[in-house]
Amino acid sequence: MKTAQELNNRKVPIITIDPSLEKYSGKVLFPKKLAKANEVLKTAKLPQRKNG
Amino acid sequence: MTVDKRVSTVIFLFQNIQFMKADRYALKSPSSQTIFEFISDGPKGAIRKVVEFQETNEPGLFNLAFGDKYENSDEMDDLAVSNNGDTDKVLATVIAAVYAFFDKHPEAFVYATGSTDARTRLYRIGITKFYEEMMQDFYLYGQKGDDFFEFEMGKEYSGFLAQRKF
Repeated sequence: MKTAQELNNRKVPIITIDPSLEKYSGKVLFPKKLAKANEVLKTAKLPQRKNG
Repeated sequence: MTVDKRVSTVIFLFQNIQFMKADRYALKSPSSQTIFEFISDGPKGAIRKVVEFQETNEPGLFNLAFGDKYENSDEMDDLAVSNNGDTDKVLATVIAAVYAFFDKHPEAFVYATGSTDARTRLYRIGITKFYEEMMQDFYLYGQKGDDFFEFEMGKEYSGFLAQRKF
């Protein structure tokens, strides 16, 4: 069994799933940020996906 | 090695905090794990923060948005500067959210740019602080204009892109 310290030190954190946050699912909380990102990425030359 | 170079190496080593040992806030999420919430606790009180990974028009590419949530409303503010004395802890928590998101969405790319130049610099500082561990786990790119280059410390970028290795 892992100790509390080991769990706290994991890179991938323990996430508490909170049902009260389900109201946000499917919603865009920062619409201006998304619009800006889509605008910037429209012409961006994205790098090739690397494997491994 | 010049004195200046030695001084900057020492500064770099001090700044390069181990992410796993960095103090972070607890994260909550809905089951989709595209939105994460935590509470910043400092001299200005408890401030609710939200990290959202937004699906962009580019398939598989998510935009990282981050800001404060107003109390008693569902409104978010990505321009808020809370000055709650916990910048390092907040940065470590946002990076923890990135790890959690990639754990659930391993094939994704994550793009991040600040709402302001100051916030973009803050993202660069966050990557720099945890650079060594992040490089073990992510392919990191910095954006200049329309191009993305492998991330290099000390260079200015207008945005950042990450793909996970782990």
